[in-house]
Amino acid sequence: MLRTLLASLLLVAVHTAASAAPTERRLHIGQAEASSYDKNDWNHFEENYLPLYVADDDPKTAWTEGVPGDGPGEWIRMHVSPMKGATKVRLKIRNGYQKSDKLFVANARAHKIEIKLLPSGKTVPADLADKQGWQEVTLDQPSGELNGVEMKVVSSFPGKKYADLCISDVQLFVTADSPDNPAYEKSVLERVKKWKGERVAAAAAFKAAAAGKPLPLAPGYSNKDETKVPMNDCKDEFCEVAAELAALDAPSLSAPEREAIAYLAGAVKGKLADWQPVQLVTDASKKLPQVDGTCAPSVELCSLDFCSEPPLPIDHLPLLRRDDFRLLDRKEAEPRDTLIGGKFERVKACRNESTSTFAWAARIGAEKQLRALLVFRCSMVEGREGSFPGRTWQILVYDEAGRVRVLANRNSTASYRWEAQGGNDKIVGGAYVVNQVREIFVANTEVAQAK
Amino acid sequence: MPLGTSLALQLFTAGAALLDPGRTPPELLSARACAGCHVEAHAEWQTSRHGLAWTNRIFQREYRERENPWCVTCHAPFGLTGAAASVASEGVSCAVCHVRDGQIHARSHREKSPHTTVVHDDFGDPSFCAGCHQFNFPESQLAMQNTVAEHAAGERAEIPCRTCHAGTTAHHAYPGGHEPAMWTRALGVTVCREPKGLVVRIENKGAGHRIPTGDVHRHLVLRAWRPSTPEAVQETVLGRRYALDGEGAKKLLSDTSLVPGETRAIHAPFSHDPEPIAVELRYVFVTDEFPKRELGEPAFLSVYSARADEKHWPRCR
Repeated sequence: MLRTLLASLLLVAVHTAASAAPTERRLHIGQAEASSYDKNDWNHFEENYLPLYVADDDPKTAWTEGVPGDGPGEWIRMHVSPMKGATKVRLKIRNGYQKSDKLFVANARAHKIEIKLLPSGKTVPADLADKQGWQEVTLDQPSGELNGVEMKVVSSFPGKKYADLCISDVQLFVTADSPDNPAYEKSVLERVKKWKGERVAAAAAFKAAAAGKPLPLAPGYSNKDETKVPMNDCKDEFCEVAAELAALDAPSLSAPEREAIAYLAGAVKGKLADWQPVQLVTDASKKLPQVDGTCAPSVELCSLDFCSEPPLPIDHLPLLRRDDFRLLDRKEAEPRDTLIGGKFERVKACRNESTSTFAWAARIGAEKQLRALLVFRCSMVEGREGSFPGRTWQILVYDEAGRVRVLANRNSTASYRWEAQGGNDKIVGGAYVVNQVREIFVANTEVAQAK
Repeated sequence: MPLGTSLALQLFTAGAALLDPGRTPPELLSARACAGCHVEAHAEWQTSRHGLAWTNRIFQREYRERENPWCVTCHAPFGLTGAAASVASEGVSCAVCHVRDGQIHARSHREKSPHTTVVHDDFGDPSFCAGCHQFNFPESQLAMQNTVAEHAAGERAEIPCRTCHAGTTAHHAYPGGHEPAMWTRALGVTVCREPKGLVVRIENKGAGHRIPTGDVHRHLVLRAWRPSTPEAVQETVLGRRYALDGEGAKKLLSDTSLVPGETRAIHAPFSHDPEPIAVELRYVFVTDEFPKRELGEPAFLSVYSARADEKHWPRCR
């Protein structure tokens, strides 16, 4: 009797958890790519009309195709979290550039479109009206998973002023019998909004820099190539850096990158024994922007998550160029071994709300020129279980000209390729290793020039 | 047969140190030595959380991030070196509970058993489980695992752990929070509507300890939302939160877990709308519910899930 009762309760539990009746739910678009996008350098920050702007629920931003003509043949592909058991897909579309009435008629709007469900490839034609506000298209989803939607422009309503076709927003609603994941969907939208906020800040920084010294960064970077890296069985963090440096090194890297990798591999082998404690002095006004496709490791990020994109210097500090910061000699405040891979939680300075910074430098030659820098940062971090001491660290290796060539973090390692452009040095690409993957990255401006 | 006493002190270290197998021959430390005769028990144990204590991906990820030696004392209780190295992957194996100095320890001596069993009347009692389910953070007076104390302080203290966790059939599977059937027995969830939204009542109806219990990362998260606006999801977390006490040790900030018999009412305000409202209660095993790196096993278990039009939910009384 008891066994029968338990069995029936189990059935109820499984039923409620896994096989609810099909219902419609919104899936937020977390990634988007397009056949082209309009690059406009009006604020000295390229790529103002990226595909992902269709995901921000804001009619004041839009994806704008970037080839001559009013848009026929151009497409945008939007990705959502994979959904099994989907039966129907409803798209809500804000056609055209709906920032204002004037801009709506000035730019082209989609008329006839083809909607392709991914990955099934099922394609359905649809007509969009030449009007502002939301329009809907509903499609039946064939059996199998849904993980995205592609929208291709077949014909358009020409713009009065610009030959640029725009789509302001797309929302995706899926009917499925799979469980919802609202917290994850919320996090997807939050990431899109954070990305958007960072772009605004970066655009302001590039605009300000245009009047003075140009920034050493491009407005955005993309991955070009990836290869798997074998998992290491390291037991300490220096060993992990050494393993990642070995995975990072390749004949395709520039000579200065390879030379810096070899230098750091040797230094790590010797556990940075002769590096001297220093005080790092940076100019907060020279803060670097978070440009597209990069990640700036912070204490919070490295304690709760990790960077899965090419890392920038720690906490955006202007450490990319040796001339942008100063070092003062100091006595060792805390033994390095206590901090790196050790008992940093016991260090009083790491139990403060404000961030503490410790640094060590490797200098070479008669002039004691800075060759490499180790920066350790720690503070209390707020997690689900309460606040706890968090930390991050970074090793930066500089070349003769004082440009950072290699950067090693707790969870990633990167090398940078610099080029002189218009009398100024800029990072145009490089390679990085994270999460057992080696990636090549290039500045989006380089990609555009190559095309 | 010898009669053992003071079992918890005798066999375990309350998470403070590795177990000493004494003069146990190395081959007897492995569960393989038991499998030949105890086929059923071995099979139950092998896929249990005890059997997976060292190898499970949740633990392995945490241990890789923070290799605290004290984790080993319960996840590979004989240690990682010497003769024990080869059995570390067996986690909480047969020998962890049953073998010391080459002798078998148990609650009873079975007829026809070839073993010279040391019998303990309290084998399997809460004091026995306390060996790994009741201990403090290192160098602290604050409980990290507090399940046995929670049980002792609760209204079901008279019911021993094994009544629920050793069951009537699978004696060596020791089902716990990873088993949906255990949640059905332990937790009651009811939802009703009031003028300004829903009220979700979560009851610890069957567990003898708090819910959630055990590892500090574990927590319950209740969510209520309308499917067209997942970004407006309402969330309530039940679990423990800590801060540092200034001396390097932890202090408990809050504990919103449910004591045995307790019912918690959680209000979720909603405007009137024809769109259904969804409610889900998840038991999350880790800090990050959506790990960026693949975990290798589920990060959570959905213990209650329902969706209905606002008017479908019964009125609150």
